[in-house]
Amino acid sequence: MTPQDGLVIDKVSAAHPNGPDVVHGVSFVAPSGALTALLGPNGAGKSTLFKGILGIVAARGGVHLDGEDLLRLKAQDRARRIAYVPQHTLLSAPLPVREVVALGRFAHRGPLAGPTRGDQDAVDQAMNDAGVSVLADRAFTELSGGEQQRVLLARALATGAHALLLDEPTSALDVRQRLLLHRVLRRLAEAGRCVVVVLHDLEEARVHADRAVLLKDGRVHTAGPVTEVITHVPVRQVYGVELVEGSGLGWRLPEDGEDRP
Amino acid sequence: MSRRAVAWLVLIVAGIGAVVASLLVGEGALDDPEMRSTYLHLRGWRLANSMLAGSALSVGGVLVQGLFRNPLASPSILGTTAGASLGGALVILLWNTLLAGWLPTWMPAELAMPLGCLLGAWGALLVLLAVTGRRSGVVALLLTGFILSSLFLSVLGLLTSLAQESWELGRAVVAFTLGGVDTKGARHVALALPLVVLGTGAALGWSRHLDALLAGEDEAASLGVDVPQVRRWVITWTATLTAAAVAIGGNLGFVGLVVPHALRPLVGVSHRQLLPASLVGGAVFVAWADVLTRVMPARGAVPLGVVTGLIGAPVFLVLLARASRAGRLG
Repeated sequence: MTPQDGLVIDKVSAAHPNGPDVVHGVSFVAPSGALTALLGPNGAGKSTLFKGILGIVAARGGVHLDGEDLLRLKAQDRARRIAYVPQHTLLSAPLPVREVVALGRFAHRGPLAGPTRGDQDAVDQAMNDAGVSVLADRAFTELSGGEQQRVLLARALATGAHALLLDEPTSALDVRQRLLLHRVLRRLAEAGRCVVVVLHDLEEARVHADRAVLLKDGRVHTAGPVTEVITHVPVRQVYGVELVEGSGLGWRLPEDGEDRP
Repeated sequence: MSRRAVAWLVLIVAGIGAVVASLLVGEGALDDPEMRSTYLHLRGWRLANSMLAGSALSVGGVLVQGLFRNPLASPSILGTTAGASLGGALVILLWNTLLAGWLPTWMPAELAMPLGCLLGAWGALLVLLAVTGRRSGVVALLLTGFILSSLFLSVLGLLTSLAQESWELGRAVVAFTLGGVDTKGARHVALALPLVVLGTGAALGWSRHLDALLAGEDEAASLGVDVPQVRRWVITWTATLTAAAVAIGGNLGFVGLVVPHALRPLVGVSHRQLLPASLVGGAVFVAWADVLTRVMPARGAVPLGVVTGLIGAPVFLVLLARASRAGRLG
């Protein structure tokens, strides 16, 4: 069997520190080049699953990225392969944006070495990709929620990791900021990265994601192409609501590519 | 000129001022040609000791603030200084009582005292971590630190009164607990300097890890930081620096709080900038505090720790009030 391209989660169980398991034997595949939405009601285990995959909380099972077992790697080696954008950052220090993004290079540098040309280029590229180059010298704490979210995305991109895990990156954003973030994520997926996003909003998932994994009580209920996952039966069984086809409003960014209203 | 450059300029000017003032101010006039070199010699070593203690405490302050992600932490507020004092006093007592008959006379208690300070500081930090855990709020951390500090100082008080049975021993313990750099000389610098150099060098080596920890332990771990390892080493180096400071200066409160706090808005929160600035800033602050002890109207000498406390405690209260209004306590 050839190693599968992308992130392969195989029977992963994970727990909060000193707590019982909240994720039980979860298996799914998040292919490279696609945006996979991780869905489920509050308390379904989405954030804990992420932390297990990242090695922040203890996890059992198999986590393979392009055939390599991530759980066996040292923290520094893992950080070069998979990056994380948290739901709420605890960063409350007025660090300049450029230095926040440069933290993404942590795993690439020796203990006493200064930043190399390559590190600086990676930081510039990441800020450019996430659309935060203009904020480079601003203090992180002065930014709006949407700007902070994109700076954290830039920090994750600066790691050079092939896989990106984002925990509800859009929950605090207005509609425009949300679309801007999804545009960045779409470009990343098109460039071949493996992008996994926890989303709260099913409509948002259906519009922006390629694939979806629906979690319930720490287990996979349904997984597959998003159009097959967000359908009547799974939505009723997991969320206890009825799906109404064709409901809701749609939004898009203006064609001219202007970034400001 | 950038704020950082202004800050360094102020530090350098204040540092030169502190050196000049330390050498010129004090009992005994320098115009007496016979005594001049003696006075300058004594004051020079006193200055070196005050600067070393200040540097050690303020770098230690930056380290614990990074570890607990809390700018209100400092070695004195968390009980680390009191733990080091207790450890040092214990060693002096043991040396002069239980071990007195066993040790060669060329090994004075002074040589082993820094080791006692180190173990005391270490133990205080470990107890603090065990009681509060790593994710507790500011109030729990400060309260635990306060209670530990009281406990250590109470035990120290008990030891001091026990030591009064022997006049010489009592005097040694009291002199140690009162602290101050007025009687400290080259030997103390020789003892403390390697510890301060080692601790500061190590702190600089961990500065990128501490920067990453500004975003919390989970995010730091996802960036590749081995968080438990960083925690172990930061505690080790904080204990080392606090022990060095207590061994030469005694219990000097609030240095590790005031200096980094004053410097952060000027040089930034990045540890690569903050650590060197705090190293110099701590030296300048305690050197000036020591000059103040000599000009304050008092019968006998004002203890150095009294001056740092008189300056530091109000600053701490202002910070606490500000944090409370901003809802950052709890």
